[in-house]
Amino acid sequence: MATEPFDLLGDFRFLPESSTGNTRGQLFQVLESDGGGGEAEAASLGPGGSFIAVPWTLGCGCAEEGWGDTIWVSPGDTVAFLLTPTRKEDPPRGPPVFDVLGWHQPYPAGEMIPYWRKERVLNPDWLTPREFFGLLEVLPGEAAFRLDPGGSYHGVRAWSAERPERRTAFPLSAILSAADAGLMRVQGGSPGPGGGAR
Amino acid sequence: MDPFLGPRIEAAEAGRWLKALFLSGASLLGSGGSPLGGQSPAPVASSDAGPPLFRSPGSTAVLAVATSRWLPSWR
Repeated sequence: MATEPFDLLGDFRFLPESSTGNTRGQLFQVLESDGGGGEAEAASLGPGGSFIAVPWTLGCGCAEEGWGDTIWVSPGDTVAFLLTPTRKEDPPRGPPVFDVLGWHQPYPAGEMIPYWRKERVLNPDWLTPREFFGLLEVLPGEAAFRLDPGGSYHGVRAWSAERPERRTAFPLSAILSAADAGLMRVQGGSPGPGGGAR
Repeated sequence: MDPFLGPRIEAAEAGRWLKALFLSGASLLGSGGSPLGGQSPAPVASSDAGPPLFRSPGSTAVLAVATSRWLPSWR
């Protein structure tokens, strides 16, 4: 089905019509959600609800756009999303539609997720989709993170401290490392003993 | 053997690495946020190659199971 770019929100509205002429989506059933999107999303994204996810790539002139891969998420696989409204209106019938950057969503199916790491060697120990969902629940909000990067990570650090055996699992290790790096940039030095996202 | 990539990275993975590196510095439509939650109101549009570090306002974390292949017609 075709998607009109002017029906989309955010950066998705800049998708060229050439890439939206043959939109493809997959149906997902919600197992758990944190209701962070408010009442409208809670109604459709509550446990037992269904939604359609549409993956996109967003190019930069020479990059591919749209979505051409044969397989995105294998039916039966459990995955984790972080969804925001991307359509001005819900479809007249059927479940709501959410657009995502298919390289990075959902976890762990996104093709580029292995490259969130900074290390050359791939860590064989990954968080399960349910663990990653739990990690998403404790990530700070954007405003809190920008205001106080170190302080906003107390929830993530607590989540990690409760699971010491998972501290080196991917992508928790990559998130903590990136947060530490961001904190160092803000502070202009190394994170203090209480400020680093460990 | 490529002295930079080393022997442990297969050619296909090396290609994806380069793609990831390219994307990390080529966020035409993104504004520097993270791919899962770094922008508002549609953070998912970012091309940045890093993990999510924070959540944008109004985002919903969802654990879900895929119940279909590509839908032939869904609108």
